[in-house]
Amino acid sequence: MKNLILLVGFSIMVVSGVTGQDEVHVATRTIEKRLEYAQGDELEIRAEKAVINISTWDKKHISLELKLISKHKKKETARSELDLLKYDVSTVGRKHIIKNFFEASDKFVRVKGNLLTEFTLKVPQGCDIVLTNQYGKLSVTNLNTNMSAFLKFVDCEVTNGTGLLNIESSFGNIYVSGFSGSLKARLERSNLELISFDGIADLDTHYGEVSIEGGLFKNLAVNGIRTKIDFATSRIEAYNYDVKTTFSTLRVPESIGSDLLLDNESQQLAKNFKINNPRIKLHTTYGSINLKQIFSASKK
Amino acid sequence: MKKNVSFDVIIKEKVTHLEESSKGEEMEETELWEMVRSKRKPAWRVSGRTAFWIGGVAASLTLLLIIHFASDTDHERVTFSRNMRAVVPSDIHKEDDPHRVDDLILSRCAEINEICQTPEFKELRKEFDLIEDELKDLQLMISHYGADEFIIQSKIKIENHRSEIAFRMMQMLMS
Repeated sequence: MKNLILLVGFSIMVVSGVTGQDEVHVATRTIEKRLEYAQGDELEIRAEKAVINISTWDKKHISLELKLISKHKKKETARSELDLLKYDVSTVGRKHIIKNFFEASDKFVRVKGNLLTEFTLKVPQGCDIVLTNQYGKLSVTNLNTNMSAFLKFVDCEVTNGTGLLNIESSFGNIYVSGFSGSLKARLERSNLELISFDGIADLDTHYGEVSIEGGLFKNLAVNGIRTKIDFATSRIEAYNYDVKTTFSTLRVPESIGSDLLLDNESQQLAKNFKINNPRIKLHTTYGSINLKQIFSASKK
Repeated sequence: MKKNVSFDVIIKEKVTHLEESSKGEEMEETELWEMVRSKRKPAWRVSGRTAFWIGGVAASLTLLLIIHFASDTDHERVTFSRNMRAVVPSDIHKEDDPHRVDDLILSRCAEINEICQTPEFKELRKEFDLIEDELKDLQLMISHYGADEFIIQSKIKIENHRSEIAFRMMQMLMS
């Protein structure tokens, strides 16, 4: 009985969220910069508590708009705490480095309001991007270059584009849609939604959920630990499958249900439709796998 | 008749005198205007060619300044506005007491040690301890940047994950 009460207690444990809204004064320092770009230059962004918006364009310079934002009920406090939020833009060799940070004369300073930084960047095509951010948001549209993002508590959205995408995420939600090229992701306690992706995807996940829908894979490998995997495609016979879950359940379309292999610990599917078909590998433990066929004409 | 002649003569003389006196006044007025004109002369005088060059340089400088300010995108400014902000719970700064769950698990492990020694349970235990480090990092972020929706979302993720891990550990201990 005691154990049952504990289990119920854990299952309904909820953190109280937002309770309403109040009016605040907002002090904003806006910085606009133009960084000259030459082929082979890189852009590095070192951010924290930041909302970052990136897109690529056909011009030959990097456009940066940086907003350092301080909010408080009192205008004077909002203004004075704005000075605790710093930024730096520098160039080291071929690398442009942009960063924001908190800096106070006393390390025990505790802000009374809220501080946030917003980056809006337009980057030339082919300018490689390396990015770190924690506790914030990342939005990338029409990427036409290579990007590596190291994120912690960041919700990330990559919409359209092409290139090499490398994402490491902890406690984040990653959404990639309409991207073509290569995706390599290492996800810890994070969820990934991959929609209409074309190319090669290599995913390592630990605690979380992976949902894949549509797309045209040349190769897909998901190595999960304690991860739930959903894979939905309209082209079920266009791939060969190596699917396995341990200590959980595997669901597959009826048409290939007879190929399912079950034992005490694991459930797996090994199915080759054609020898040259791209390979779909989905492996996980303690998480279910749901392989399903979709019939919507709008999905690839 | 005599009177008439003399009258005509007088008139003629007067008219002649008037013309002569008018001529004299006209001369004086011309001189006066000459004098006024001479006083109105500028202190310096430039030739048309010099004026062209000075005007050209001035126009070029103005144009260069306009181009400079229009093309220079490096700007910095501070602005103020009013906005609505999400109200965060006052207890967001407080750390939950993980020791309560910890104590329960430890006491249960003392009773059924073999489960707590399995690789699966050890892995969950390690994950549970890692979450405590994440909560400490979160507290540092709150002190530097304040609590807002990003912080609340992060704390919810951590708490939910910790609950899930604790739930799985308890499931194992109950089985």
